[in-house]
Amino acid sequence: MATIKIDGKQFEVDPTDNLLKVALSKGFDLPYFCWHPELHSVGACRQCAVKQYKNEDDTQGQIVMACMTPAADGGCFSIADKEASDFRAQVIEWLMINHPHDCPVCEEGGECHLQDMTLMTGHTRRRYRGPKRTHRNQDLGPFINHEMNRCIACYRCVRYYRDYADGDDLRVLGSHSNVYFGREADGAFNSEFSGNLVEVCPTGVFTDKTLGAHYNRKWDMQNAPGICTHCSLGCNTSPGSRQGVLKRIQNRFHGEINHYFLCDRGRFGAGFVNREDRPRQPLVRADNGVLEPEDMDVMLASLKSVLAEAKGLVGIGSPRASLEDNFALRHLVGADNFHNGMSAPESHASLAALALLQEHAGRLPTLRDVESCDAVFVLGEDVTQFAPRLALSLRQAVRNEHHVLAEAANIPKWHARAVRDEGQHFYSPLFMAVPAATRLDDVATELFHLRPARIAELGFAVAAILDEAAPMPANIDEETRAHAETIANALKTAKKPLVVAGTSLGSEAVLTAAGNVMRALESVHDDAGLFVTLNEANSLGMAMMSDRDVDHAFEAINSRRADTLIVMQNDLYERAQHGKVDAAIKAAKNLIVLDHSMTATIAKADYVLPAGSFAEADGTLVNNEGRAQRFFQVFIPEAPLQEGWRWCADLNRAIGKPVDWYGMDDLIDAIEAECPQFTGIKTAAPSTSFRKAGMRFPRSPHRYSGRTALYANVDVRERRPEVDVDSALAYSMEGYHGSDQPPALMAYAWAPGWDSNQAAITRFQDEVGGHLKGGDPGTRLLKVDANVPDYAPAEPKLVEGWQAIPRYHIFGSESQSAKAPAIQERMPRAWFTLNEAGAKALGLAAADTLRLTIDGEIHALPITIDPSLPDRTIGVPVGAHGLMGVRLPAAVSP
Amino acid sequence: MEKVLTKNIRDNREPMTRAEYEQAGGWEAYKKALHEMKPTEVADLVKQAGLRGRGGAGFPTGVKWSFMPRFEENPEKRPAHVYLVVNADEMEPGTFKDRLLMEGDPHQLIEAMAIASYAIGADIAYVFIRGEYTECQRKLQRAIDEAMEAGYLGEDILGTGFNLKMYLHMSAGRYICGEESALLSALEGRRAVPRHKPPFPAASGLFGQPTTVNNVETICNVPHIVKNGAEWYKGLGLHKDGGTKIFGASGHVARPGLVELPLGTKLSDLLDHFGGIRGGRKLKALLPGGGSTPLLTDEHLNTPMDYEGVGAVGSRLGTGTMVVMDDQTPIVGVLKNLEHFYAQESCGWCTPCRDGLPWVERILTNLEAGHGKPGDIELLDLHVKLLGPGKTFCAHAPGAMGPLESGLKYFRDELAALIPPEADTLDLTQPANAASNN
Repeated sequence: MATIKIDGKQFEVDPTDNLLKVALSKGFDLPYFCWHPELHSVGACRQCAVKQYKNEDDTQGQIVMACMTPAADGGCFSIADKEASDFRAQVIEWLMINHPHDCPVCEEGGECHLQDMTLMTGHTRRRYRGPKRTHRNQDLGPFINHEMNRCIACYRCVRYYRDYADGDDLRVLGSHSNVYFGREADGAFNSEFSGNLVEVCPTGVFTDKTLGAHYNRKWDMQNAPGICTHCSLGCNTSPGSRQGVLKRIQNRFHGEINHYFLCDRGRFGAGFVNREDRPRQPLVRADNGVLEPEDMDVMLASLKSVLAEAKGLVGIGSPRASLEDNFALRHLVGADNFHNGMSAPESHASLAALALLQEHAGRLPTLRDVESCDAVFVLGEDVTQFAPRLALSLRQAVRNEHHVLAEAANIPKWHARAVRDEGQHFYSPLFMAVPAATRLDDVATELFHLRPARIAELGFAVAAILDEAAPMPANIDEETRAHAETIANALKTAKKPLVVAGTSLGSEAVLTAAGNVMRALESVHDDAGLFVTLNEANSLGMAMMSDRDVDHAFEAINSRRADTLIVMQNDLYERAQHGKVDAAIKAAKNLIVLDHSMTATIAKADYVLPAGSFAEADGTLVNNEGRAQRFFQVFIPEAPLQEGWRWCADLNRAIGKPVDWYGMDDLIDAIEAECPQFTGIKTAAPSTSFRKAGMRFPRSPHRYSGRTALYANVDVRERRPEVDVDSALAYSMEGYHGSDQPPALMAYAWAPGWDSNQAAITRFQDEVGGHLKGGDPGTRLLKVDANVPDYAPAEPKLVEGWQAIPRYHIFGSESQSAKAPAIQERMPRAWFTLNEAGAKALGLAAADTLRLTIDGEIHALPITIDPSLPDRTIGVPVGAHGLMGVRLPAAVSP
Repeated sequence: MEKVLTKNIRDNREPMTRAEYEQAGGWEAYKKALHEMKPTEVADLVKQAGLRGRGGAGFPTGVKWSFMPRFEENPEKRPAHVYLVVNADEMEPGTFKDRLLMEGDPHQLIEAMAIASYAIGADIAYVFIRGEYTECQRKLQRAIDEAMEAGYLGEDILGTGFNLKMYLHMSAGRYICGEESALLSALEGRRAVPRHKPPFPAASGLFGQPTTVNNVETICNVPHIVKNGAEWYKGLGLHKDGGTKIFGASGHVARPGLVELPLGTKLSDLLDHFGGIRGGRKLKALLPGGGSTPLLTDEHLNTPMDYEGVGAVGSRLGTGTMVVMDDQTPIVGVLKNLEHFYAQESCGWCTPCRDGLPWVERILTNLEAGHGKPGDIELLDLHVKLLGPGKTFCAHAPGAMGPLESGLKYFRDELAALIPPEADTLDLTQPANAASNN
């Protein structure tokens, strides 16, 4: 530790930090632009100027940039010094020379870092006489709007996009006062993480186009702490709404998961909530075969008789729905009749993933921890498409070598440019055994394009080389052995090796192999980590809740053990072959669906109950590391649309078996009581009765306007804010606001003088960019087991003939976001992919149609050549843009 | 006086062939260094000679070399490469001395680079050369090829185990490429944005490896120092700094051009070498060594032209190539021209330079057009103060303020007189944040 003085006050600080970070962490209001907690210092904007004194007797001092000044022991600084503060005001005046001052029509207004910094420096009067330079804007696709005239050239966008996210199509063009931040031509950004530009840009150059389409100010939004529902990582979000319309998704800082950044699917994938075609009324199949809206009471009365007459109920839950909704259905149909809603291969893989996670529960790094892992072995996962935010973390992981080199050259870790200059193209090892090329290949040390069983084989071999006690697969070839040796050596010699595996290929063997690698690595290494990705937001939770998949449900219907099928937020056509689903629905006397979006299953349903989406409900999701996290209702939907679990409670009442869950607290107690595996979910967030200074916690910022006028067309009297019976949040701007607010109940980030999301959060962190005060939210459910697992036998079942394997896409492979208009614009065309030799063997050329029979159903798609695929392997696009309900991997004979 | 750097240069500037160069004593210093001296001895010799950087900053070359990490003791720690980069970007306004050296005697530069590489332990040497200097490029490439053929470059040179590769790199243009760290960025194929120091290039330079960047003229002195010794070299100067210098003049002199003279030659003598002020007029002001050196006036005619001498009168020797203005020259036009150049050549990285220089240019444009207003001169003063060293990212903007500061000092009344009397009297001199309590 070092002792420094700022404005006469003494502080104990970390000397390896820079002064700006230290000053912000200690609560000083020191303006800055080019610095960012994740992008570190480059000294470009000159905004954070302070006075540095040689010693206590020095009265003259010298202006230095805080971001480029080490917080070295004995340092003596002043922020308040007149010369320094005059200089900071002057920097704003320079920046403002060409800024259009269009705040009234700028989407950034109200959460603009430039506005905040301008106020903070006190610059008020313009002395520059002359024209402003102007730029042409570009069409950057459906996600992001471009307004270059507002640019103050802080270089944050390119530093984030190019240096952090490794994108290459946003660049700085031009020079002097005419620098231009854009693409070479119009077009959507290539990077899957482009949306973060909206928050990284300190002013309104890059703004959220999906928000702009139905814009309102930050201060006029009603927010809630959200959890992203578009993959298994559980990134924290802050959805904002107004008048029952979901306006946008913003990042919500979580020090262990997403910290400052989201992927584009998470940020722009929520548009499905606002779709016109959502079921918003109970629907019943009329005699003419059309779904007709029905009154809630009438509907419940008819469902009462349906359920009373039913010869057995079958409940199908969903890995995209909360534990609460799933549990409520489980309670309604009985635990033995409840199914986890996953396809058979998904369920098997998820259960294997759960077992793997439980075996290594003590060695599960968080997403944030991944960034400090210095050797990574990925088995099977195309992370950018399947668990996108992980790809961004792995990009940081490979840069650990930069930090090693920089440290050796005495370059401080915050000196971003020098670290890069020293690091150059030297990366920490990243080995990827995947079926085909991925969007992470550019930073990979070595790629092994293999089919699932061969990936498992390689994994087993790595394990066997790491630990002689681990079984070596039989008949392994020399090439595989050599690859395995390279990988094993890199993992063994790393400080913090990481194994990444997951369920995307639907291959249990890959997960088993990852388990062997982990077990072997643990025997030689104390800091080995395992990161497992799953298909959906609550896949792990559902694997924990039930091991029965949709096939079991269909079997119960087809064997006449039951005749009434109740589906919670699930589209069965995503979970099994078309014909199989058709047959089950036909065999069922009644199909009751509770969902928030229009699906193919609803199109076949007899009864439909409109359930709330994540924006209209509270709930708990279990992410890929077994962390239970709570999301909260953003706005109250118009009745009769309500939470899935409330519909289940209504149905319970209707059939005369009332439940005593009147709010989330009761339900969560019931879950913990009935399912001990979920013990701890209660602590994922404070309970409904939690108060600070007797107050609830606001969903809206205190400047929220129009409360008295918003519904004036309905009633001129001021509405009383709704009372939230499910959480300690308030549907209002009133309530407790302070840096000691419980992090799980922070609906938005704001602090006096700091309106922008990424800067305001500083006041709620233990140190800038660190962890949230009071602890990062969520409860990790998996308990550390001291038993060392046995090695699994190394018996990958190699497939000789043609094999179809799943290919994912960030835009399309997740069904909810695939209904968002912005995502739909970015969904790729559906192609079967195969390599040149494969196409030749089948007598096909690119764009020819291939008819492929999978599980007895024929699918016809054009082909495209992907030279990276192994021989006799056909990549099948899975998701809304491709095929749904196909069971992969599968042996095929094209 | 004894010509050192230019003694091999013919009137028609047709360079010597390798044979001719060797005939004239060329490559002897290299052989002496390689066979008789340790690398550190060469570096120490240059340090003793007091050779100072001729690119403008005047930093002692031997001291710069001494920052390079040494691997003679522990060769296993030697990085993949150690680089010598010769800065031949020569973009300083009014400066054309390195061009003469490269066009007239390319072998001298190649030999100098080879000796310097030996001294600092470099195995790869680059010449980063101004894009427009195609003639230099052609001649240097031929000289490099000839040196390769003769075994002066390549592997195990002259059986000493010393290896050296040499490459030419044509700059894509931009003044900032002459700043050594921006030059390194450009050489790596990136935007020519300067780097923050520390780390210095000696620690983390080109491609992250130890690197020394030297100016063409600077390094051309090295063979002569090696050959003739430090004392001889120091004795060449007339004032405090040793050696000769290629001085030049452009602008309002009778015979613009270049001349090699001892450092410390009096300014008035120097002007005489160029035939004095054109048309019998009087000297108004001159930039002693490029666009970023503060102006000198007729009160400085007795100044000894070396680093110390020019520094003592508030300017810098810079590149030693003057831009001379006669008494008919409006100073506002001079300053506007210069600030236009600097505003345009800002790389756009840091705020004060990127946005402050165009403002300065705008004020001068207004003044020249008769659109000045009260407060404009004070705004120029403010920029001189706030675009100073330490406040901007690199030395570009402080350099741009050099002539402006001296212009405001020597010709303040002339500038103030440009503000029309009817200009409104709104007080624009208050600091930007006067209206707040901050």
